[in-house]
Amino acid sequence: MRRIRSLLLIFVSISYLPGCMNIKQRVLDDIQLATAASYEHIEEDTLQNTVVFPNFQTDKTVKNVTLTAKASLSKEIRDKHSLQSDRPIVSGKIEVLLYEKKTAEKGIINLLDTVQRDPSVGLNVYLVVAESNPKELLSKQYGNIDTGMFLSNLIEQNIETGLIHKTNIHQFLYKYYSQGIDPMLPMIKQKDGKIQLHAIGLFDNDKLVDQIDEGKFFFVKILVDSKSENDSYEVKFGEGEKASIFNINSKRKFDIPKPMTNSEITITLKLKSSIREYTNGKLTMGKMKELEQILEKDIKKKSVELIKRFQEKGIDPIGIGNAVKTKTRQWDEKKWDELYLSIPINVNVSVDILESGIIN
Amino acid sequence: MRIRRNSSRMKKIENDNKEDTSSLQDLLQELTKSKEFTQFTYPGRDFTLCFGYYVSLINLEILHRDILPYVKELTSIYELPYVLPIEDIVITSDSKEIQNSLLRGSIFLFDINNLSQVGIVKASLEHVRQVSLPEVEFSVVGPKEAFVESLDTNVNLVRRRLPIPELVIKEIEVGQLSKTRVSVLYIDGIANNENVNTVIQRISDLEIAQVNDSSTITQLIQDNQNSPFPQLIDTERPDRIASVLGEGKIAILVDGAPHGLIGPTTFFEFFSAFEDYFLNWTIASFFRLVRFFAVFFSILVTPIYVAVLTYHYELIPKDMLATLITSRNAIPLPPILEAIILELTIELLREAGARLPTKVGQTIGIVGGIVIGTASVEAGLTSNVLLILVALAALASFTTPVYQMGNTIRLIRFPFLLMAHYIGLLGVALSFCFLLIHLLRLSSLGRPFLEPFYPLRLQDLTDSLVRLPFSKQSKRPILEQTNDTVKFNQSKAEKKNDL
Repeated sequence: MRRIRSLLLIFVSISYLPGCMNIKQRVLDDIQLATAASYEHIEEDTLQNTVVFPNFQTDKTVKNVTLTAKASLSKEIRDKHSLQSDRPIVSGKIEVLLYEKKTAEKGIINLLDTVQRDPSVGLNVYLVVAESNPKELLSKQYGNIDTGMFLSNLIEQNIETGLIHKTNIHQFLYKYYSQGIDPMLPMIKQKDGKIQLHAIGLFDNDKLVDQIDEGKFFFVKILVDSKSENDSYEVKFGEGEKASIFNINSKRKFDIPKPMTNSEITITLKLKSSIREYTNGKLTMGKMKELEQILEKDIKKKSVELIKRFQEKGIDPIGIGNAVKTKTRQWDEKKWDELYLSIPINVNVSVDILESGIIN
Repeated sequence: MRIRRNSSRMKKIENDNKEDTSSLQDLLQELTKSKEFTQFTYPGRDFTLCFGYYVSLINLEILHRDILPYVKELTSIYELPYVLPIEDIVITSDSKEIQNSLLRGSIFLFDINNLSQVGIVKASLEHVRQVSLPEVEFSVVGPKEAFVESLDTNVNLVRRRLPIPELVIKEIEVGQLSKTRVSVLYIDGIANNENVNTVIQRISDLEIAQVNDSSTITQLIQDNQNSPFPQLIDTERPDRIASVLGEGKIAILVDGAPHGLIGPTTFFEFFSAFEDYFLNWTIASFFRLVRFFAVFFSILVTPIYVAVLTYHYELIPKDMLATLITSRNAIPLPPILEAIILELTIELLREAGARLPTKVGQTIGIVGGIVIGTASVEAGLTSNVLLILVALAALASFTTPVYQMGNTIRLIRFPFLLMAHYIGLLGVALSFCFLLIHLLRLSSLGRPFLEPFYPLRLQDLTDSLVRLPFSKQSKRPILEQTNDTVKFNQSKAEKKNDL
């Protein structure tokens, strides 16, 4: 009898359980899975939001469908989207969030708030700054795949192959909330009907302030990541001599002798590389040594230039401040911000060419 | 007790058993009620003999060849054992014993003038199936003998593999109507006395009218009779019984049942096929791991499908979205109904296949596999992804070597399914917790069912999830609490004797 009663109790408590947990059924084929959303300010207080979702056809093709709405709060927009849709739109499958360039310049942290609060959105969503009109960018379909997935694959592929640094909401928020480091986001634009990842946007806190173009991704990567691999770099020297090197792996180390003073900070870069292309005849051991030195000089020059540029804008995507903070007992952010603008930063580069490919 | 009071027939038997002193005259009167009971007189040398037997139970050839020609020389009933060329002869006056022997295929004969001494001669006619190939636990390599319906043959099969005097066979009679002989086999000096006593006591205390098979005994003596999980292994392989006896386990053989029982056992032993011991340990271990994977797969795959499609669309990898959504595009049913329909279809097919004769059964496979499967997808009732998952789950459940456990696994999938529909993956996790708690509470003849994982017994792990080489299994399982824990000397076993 006691047993039956306890079993009954269990069943009753389980049957009330869903009521407490606010579990709602969302059957996969009865919902509209948004895969990307874009935000852009069209007026001072009005946001225009475009969502993309795939429409899977029975013949295994995918149709890209977009909905656009305007409102002042981003969750309100969702209700307006709903008024245009035959199925409820859910945000759990969002892969990419786009911010129009002007919107990004105004700051995106308020727009991120709703995403952070939504438990169904993960932290591995990519954030992207769009230089062209995001609505147009999203409504075009690129291949048999919806644009959200396409963008997600585009960024994922480039992170994996090592062209750009790792980026997602988690990385962005981590850098946003930590002191002495600023976030970066990839930037895309539409060009001749194609999407191109053309720059890396540099942020001061949550505001876009500067951008680094395509050719210099290599420096951003080796400076930002303490261990980086798979990047490639092209160097020109002499007259028409060119070589493309492939970074097998690189290590970055900060050398901060006296933290929080004006003394020089040294960044040591150690690169192990291989040569992918060389346009000046036979590559001998002597020429390799020569090439190493040229590379060292070139990388050093461009890195220092880049860091100077960061310092001028007062931003710190490399995280030098963060490294200083780890060595300082009483960290004072304001004091560092002032110091950072004028602190001398030197870069030491050593390149080690391990292989030069196989030539028959 | 209630049964006995209600049934007049039972009462009569009860009375017969009580009246030990009732005369032979009364017994004869009772016996002649049956038409097949034959009674005749036969002139001996000095006296007239009276014969009596059940015609259906005795071998008439023995009667005519080995009994009738010899009794003519008889001077006294006491000479019977010396005159007849038959071993099993008893002289008694106990009418209960006479009756029991008659019913087991004996002939009785007595001097018509002296009713007090009756000779009982065994001349039973036995229809015994030939020892044949194991069908349920078939193995490609290894012995190919399976138990038959005769207890004596079965005991013979086991004893031939264990020619030691320590192999003890205790016989108990169970069932007021069926009078089934149940044998308990164990090796004295190895098997734990407590286990042996538990089994013997449980079997002798049984109150039941008929025992038709060993599975009846399993259901009656296992620790938790309401659990869907069997707590004793049943096997049709005499080599398996012989082998586990050596580990200190106890075997039960039932007359008329082609399956023996083994206990105490663990959950994990249900997934070890005896063929594992005939293969190299690496291969055997791999097969075992595959089987465990199959169990989890079989129980969890459809519930997870239902939970994910109903609640957790976020969990679906983006590359799988298109496949899942297009396969469910035109289906009007929610995932749970879709899943239940398919699962029930598989169960129907299995049940229909099991009930029909073999030749008709083959068509069931075609109807089920091709017609229902393909047609239901084309008709838009089920998605082809789920069809594959359900079919795989069914296939996985058939990998369980012990048939009874396979049935259990197919059953416990349904509560998982309902909970998955109810509260999603949380429901699956909750059901799994319930299952785990239930398994933890189970015991087999008083020994923990989830050993060697709970309680953790590292030594027993050598033969549970994986099967390590024989030389590593020098000790008997801790589970059995054996009197003699060492099987053989491990260092000697590992020593290479090559020169």
